[in-house]
Amino acid sequence: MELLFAQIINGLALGSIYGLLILGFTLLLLVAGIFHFAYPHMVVFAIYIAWLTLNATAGNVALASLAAIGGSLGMAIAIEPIFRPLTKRAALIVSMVVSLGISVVFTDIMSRVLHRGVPIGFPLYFTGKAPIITVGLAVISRGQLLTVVGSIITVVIFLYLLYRTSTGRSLRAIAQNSFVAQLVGIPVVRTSRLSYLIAGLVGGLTAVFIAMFLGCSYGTLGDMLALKVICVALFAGMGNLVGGLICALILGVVETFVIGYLPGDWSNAIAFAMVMVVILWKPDGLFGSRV
Amino acid sequence: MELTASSFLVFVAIYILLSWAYYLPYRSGQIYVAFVVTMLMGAYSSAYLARDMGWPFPLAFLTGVGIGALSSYVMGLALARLRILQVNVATLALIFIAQTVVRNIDFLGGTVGMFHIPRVTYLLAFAWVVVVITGVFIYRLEHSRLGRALEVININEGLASSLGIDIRKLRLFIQTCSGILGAIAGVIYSFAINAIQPTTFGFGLLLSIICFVFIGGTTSLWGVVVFVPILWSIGIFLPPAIAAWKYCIYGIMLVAILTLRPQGAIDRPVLRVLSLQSRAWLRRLGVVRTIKEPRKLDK
Repeated sequence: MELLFAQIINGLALGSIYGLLILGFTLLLLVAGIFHFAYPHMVVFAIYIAWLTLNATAGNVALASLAAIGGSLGMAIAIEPIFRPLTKRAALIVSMVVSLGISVVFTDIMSRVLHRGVPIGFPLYFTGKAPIITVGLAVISRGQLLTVVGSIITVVIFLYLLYRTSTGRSLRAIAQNSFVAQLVGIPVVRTSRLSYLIAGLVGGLTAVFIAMFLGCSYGTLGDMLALKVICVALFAGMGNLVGGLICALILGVVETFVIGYLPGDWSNAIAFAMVMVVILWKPDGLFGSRV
Repeated sequence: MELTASSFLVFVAIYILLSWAYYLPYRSGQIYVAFVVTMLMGAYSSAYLARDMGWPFPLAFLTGVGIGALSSYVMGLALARLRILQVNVATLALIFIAQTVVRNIDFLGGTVGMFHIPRVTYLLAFAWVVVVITGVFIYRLEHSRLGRALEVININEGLASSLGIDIRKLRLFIQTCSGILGAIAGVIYSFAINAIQPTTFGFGLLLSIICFVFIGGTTSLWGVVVFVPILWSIGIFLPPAIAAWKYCIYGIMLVAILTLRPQGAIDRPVLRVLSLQSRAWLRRLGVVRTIKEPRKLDK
């Protein structure tokens, strides 16, 4: 019974990581109008930056976290010019292929150059794999708790930004109809650049949470996360923010249960099988598409 | 990687077929990558039939292609009516599911794969005959009513529907063709390399194909014919230190070409210039008749 409870917490932690990734991805999809396949790759690269900083500063956790967030922000700012002409043309499909190319560059660098291709691991005081709560056989580690709580706080702050500030109102307006938003006087290009910054910030936080939750990272993690995040987006409906968050949690929990009870590497295939079923039954996703 | 000239040509033929398999659905407005799944099916089924059950190559080829055609038709029944993003992600997911399934089936070799697939001596000629036949087929398709329908679908789907084009049926047909091409390429691949693993039929291959098609030209079938040998040689003929970064180079080239020249290298104006120039050249050489002077009308 406690094992089930621990699995659920594990699943929620994994799901909240997917949820944060979906958040940044959907934001870029709706406001900047691009399908950023390489967004999880940027996040994983930020994990590598955190690891490098950890090694360079001999174990300064706060500095490593800041480095991850800063690195993610920097990458978002650096990649934005590549997508700018695509944003103007609202070319979603071309941006998908372009970001596919960028993701391959990231994956090659991470699996060849950084740490000579060997997976990296984070030490115990960083990962928080040390157990905090023990209920019978179940163990809940600090990393899992921090991930869940941190993600909830991040999502709440983001939703507050989106629904209670004027910047959020501009973002929502552009998401609904960018042409009319331009007519009304919202600076579309400047606001979509802001969305890159927000996505980069959230990505950096996600990187820290992944480092705490997984405790390790490898070169092709970006590919794995990207495929799963896109599958969640399709499952929930492209561009549906709240639906995407809910479905990310569902996927996290289902995947953890599959890892626990099915042999082999079927856990990865579960996300894709879910997507296939939804596509056949409800092509626009469970909660409806907003793109 | 050391290659003989005949192996090189066989692989160029395989990649041209795969690039055409990506190109055809792209011309119908969909990014359809399930030809990698049919490639996997074709390769594994024909390898199993030829190696473990002793079937001759033509029979194994036909069965492999038949399996691929059937599965792409069945998949197409569900996928034909979806929008472009959904088809893209669904077929990507299918590639992954197929890889996972094959990895967990033991009589197909599991993660290690199948080895000692029998050799076929006439494979090079066979592969290129298939390429020529496919090229003629695609050329005739493009210059027919179906080809014009594909053009209209690309411009505006609503307009195409209002003109009476059954988009779903056409897309189903194109997807089945793409699946067949993938299966053919898979069978030839397994007999060319004589050993197959599940990891080959994945995203590395897909990225290479996407790179070939977008750099070669997405509006003409000749683009991949010219650029597949050039681009694929990057991984073969460059020094190993640079060739290891093959996928990185492909990624950078993809981003560059989509930003600078989205229609690819060989598009309609280039083909038109080439054909006019070659006709002028042939006329000067005397091979083709000169243009007659237009008759003057009597007042």
